[in-house]
Amino acid sequence: MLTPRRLWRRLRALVARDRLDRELDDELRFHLDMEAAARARFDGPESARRAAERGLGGVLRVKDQVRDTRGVRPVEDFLTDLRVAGRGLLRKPSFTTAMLTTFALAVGGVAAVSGAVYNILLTPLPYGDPDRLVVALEYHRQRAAAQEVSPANFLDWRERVTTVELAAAEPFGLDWQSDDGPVYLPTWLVSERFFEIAGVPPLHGRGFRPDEHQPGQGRVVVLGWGLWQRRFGGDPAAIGQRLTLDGETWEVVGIMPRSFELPAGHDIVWAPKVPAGWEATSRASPFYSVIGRLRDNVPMEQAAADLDRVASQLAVEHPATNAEIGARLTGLTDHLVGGARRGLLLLFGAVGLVMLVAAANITSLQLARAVERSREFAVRAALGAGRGRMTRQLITENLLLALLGSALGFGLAALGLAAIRRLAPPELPRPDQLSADGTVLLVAVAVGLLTAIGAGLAPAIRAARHGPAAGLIQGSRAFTASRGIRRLRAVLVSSQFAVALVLVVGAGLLVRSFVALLNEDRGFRSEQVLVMVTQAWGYFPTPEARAEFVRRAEEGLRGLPGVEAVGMTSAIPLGESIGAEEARLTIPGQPVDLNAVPEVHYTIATTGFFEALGIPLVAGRLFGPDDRAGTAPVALVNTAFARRFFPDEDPVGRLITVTGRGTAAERQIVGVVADVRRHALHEVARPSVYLPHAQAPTGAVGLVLRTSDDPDALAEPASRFLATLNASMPVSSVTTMERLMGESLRERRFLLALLGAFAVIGLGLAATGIFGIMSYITGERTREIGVRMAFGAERGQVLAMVLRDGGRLAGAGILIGVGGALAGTRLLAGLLYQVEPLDPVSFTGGALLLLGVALAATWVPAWRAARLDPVDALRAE
Amino acid sequence: MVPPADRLQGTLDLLILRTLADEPMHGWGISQRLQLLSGSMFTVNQGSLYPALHRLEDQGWIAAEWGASENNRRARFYRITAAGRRQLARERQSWDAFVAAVGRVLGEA
Repeated sequence: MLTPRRLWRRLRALVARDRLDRELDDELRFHLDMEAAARARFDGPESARRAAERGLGGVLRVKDQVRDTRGVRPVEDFLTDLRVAGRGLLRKPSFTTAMLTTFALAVGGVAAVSGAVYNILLTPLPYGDPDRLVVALEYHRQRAAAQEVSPANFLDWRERVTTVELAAAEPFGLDWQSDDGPVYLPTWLVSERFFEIAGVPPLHGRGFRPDEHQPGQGRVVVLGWGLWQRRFGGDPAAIGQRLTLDGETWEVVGIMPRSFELPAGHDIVWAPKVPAGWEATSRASPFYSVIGRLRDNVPMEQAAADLDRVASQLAVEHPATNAEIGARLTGLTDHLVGGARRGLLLLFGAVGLVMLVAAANITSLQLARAVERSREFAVRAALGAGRGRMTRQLITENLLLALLGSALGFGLAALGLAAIRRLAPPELPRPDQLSADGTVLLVAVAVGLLTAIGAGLAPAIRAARHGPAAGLIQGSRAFTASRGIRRLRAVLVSSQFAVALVLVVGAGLLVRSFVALLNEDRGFRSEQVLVMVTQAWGYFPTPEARAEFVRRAEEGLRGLPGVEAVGMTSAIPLGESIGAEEARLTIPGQPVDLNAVPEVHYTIATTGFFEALGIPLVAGRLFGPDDRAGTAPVALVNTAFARRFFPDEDPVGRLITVTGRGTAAERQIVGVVADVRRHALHEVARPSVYLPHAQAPTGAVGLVLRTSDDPDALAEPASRFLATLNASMPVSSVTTMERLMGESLRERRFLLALLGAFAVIGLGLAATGIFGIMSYITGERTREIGVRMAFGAERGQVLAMVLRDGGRLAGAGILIGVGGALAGTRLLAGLLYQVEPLDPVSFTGGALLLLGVALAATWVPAWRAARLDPVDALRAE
Repeated sequence: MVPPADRLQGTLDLLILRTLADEPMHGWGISQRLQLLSGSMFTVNQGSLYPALHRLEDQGWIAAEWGASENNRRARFYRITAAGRRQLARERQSWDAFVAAVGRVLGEA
């Protein structure tokens, strides 16, 4: 029964051990002196003393027994074991370093990735009751793709669907005349009860009142957290401030918390959506982001069925627009995270492989060391150490290693996660979850313990099982590895190489894809191109004003020093959307299928656009000065369009009708230009139509400037020039084509970097493993090598022999690895570009690389073996 | 005849407590007293005395402090505590019961 008093005594026994031991010494010495004095009357002083000691029965034993009564023996033993373990580790620095490095890498990798996967995929989103939140999308059956929702469809859905409460957000932008000049604010116009449905109350202030969604009302905004920090200094007094947005006075009524990013971003504002008349019938312009909250106790399937029902009703009521439109309901978590799931799980798999290599490394290191220490254990057993005691000590050693390794691994994981957070592409959801938190620590400790115990236990048991006599009598024979151990070691090394090969081949495939993508002809030039975007609608209200604006902008920018060409476009390759891009196409003379009106991508551009981006003309001509308002409408098409709609004839001169937002005229094709990738470098170019800006003056103005020098240097002068055309019009984004390219490659580069890192780690571990094992093996074979040399073997032959052995071990592993890679690389298929999953170059290269690494790692022990003096070798034990 | 030491172990606690109930003593004194009182019937295996003393101390039935012995040497003195007295009474009772039981069995024979 552990009373506080006894606990206190135990603590004191631990802390003041030396003092208590000395007191015990004194006490027993007193006893012996008294006893000896008493007996001295009968015996002589000498024999009295001895008799006294005999009477006590062995001073050492008595002391030991007294110490047992202090109740702290187990703890003391553990501390002693720790101290011995620590000293043992320090005595063998190379072994310790190898073990700790392996441990740290394995634990760090697993902990980081597990933490990331768990936090991103499994922890709930920070919205109220996130399981009840859903995303609703339209599904276009002909295109077999999901899309956003058109306004009138949303209104009908909201009214007719009973199982889900829906809200919509429309992407918009407001120009803010701030004290620092005009600033473009990305805006979400949200429908009623948007924040309530999302289930997140504002950090400060309030959301929108119902009356604020009425026409004439609604000049209120809620700030996103990021914007609030950056532009308002994070001051709650921002509430109530009045801002001049789009020329009118708006009031800030609320601020959302950091975690709130629906539908996307927090460097933004939300404003109440006031329905415009034309939206009540707009069913073919999908641009609303719709979220919803399932009503109480309604399962997702029921809500999805409800939504389908309404979508079918609308398809019947409005066949012209809705015949192909279905609906999709997804959980919000799935929607945000689902895309990343595959990548993350792949990463998980890769890290697991590295883990295997590390575990094999640790086990073989432990095994080798255990064999080496057999003699030590034999001696200790002969001196009286119990088997349990020795096993306990070995376990303690492993625990110490595990603890140190886990600590180091956790540190590595923290660094790795920070690096990932910085490099992660925007597609990676919830990057704020990539931090070294409690989960990561837990995984680090758990993995460390498991690995230590698992890898270290078998050798520990085996070593402790040695009977004391065998070790000392049989000499060195008993301390070479048995055949079973040797086979286990070979298996371990080979498996390391097998796994490393899989990783290396995978990385190689990704590298080749990446290079292919970079070298791909993307149809336009990306070096030294500055890109600027502005929305001119509000500042140049009439079409004539806009046409004039673009004309003067091009002229003026062309005149800036360092500018070689200027062009305008409504759709920037690889850039975000700035204007409408979808239109329906009819070709007079070709039969029209009312159920499947073809849709094409359309862009409004000037001739300068093609010049600035170096898009070659394939046939006919580009736009000319005579193609303007009032003259015959013209258009350009790309080769994909020509192939699709005019496969056997020259499209130049043919007539087409393009119907989209802001344009509906019959136009004559005057030229064909090369294909341009719109959204991603690896996509297939869609049929595209280009309209001259002079004939379709949109306010969605993207300006591309080709410069002779650094494009960033021209950002200032170009913005200043645009300000002369209209001082209150903000430039909503300025960037370079190179940066857009980099952004579009970011996800691949990220995955490549990660997998590459794992491949390198795996390779390093495998190399360390084979180096260590070959060192031990050649150490064991010292005598045999001495015999061989004595019988005339040349140094070169010894070298070759060891190299061959190493190469055989690695080779077996590589072959197995090739088998594994053949099976496994198809998992990468979705990420590869113009490279087969069974690409022979990657496989061969990987195998050769690994073989080279194996030979290099084996070289040192081989060299050492070859340089042995046969006499020393024979004498060695 | 000296009984084997291990049979004494179990009753050693009882003997120590009883000895200390009279007056505080150091370890050697206890061993001398036991030898004396038992008429030299048991020579307590002195090796088991000290572990027993420390065990009793750990349990709180006796307390220890350093003092001066009769010949002015530094020695560790033990004394019984209140809890120890209660334990002595308990042990005494169970010893008596044990002896009575053995007596009954022998008496039957």
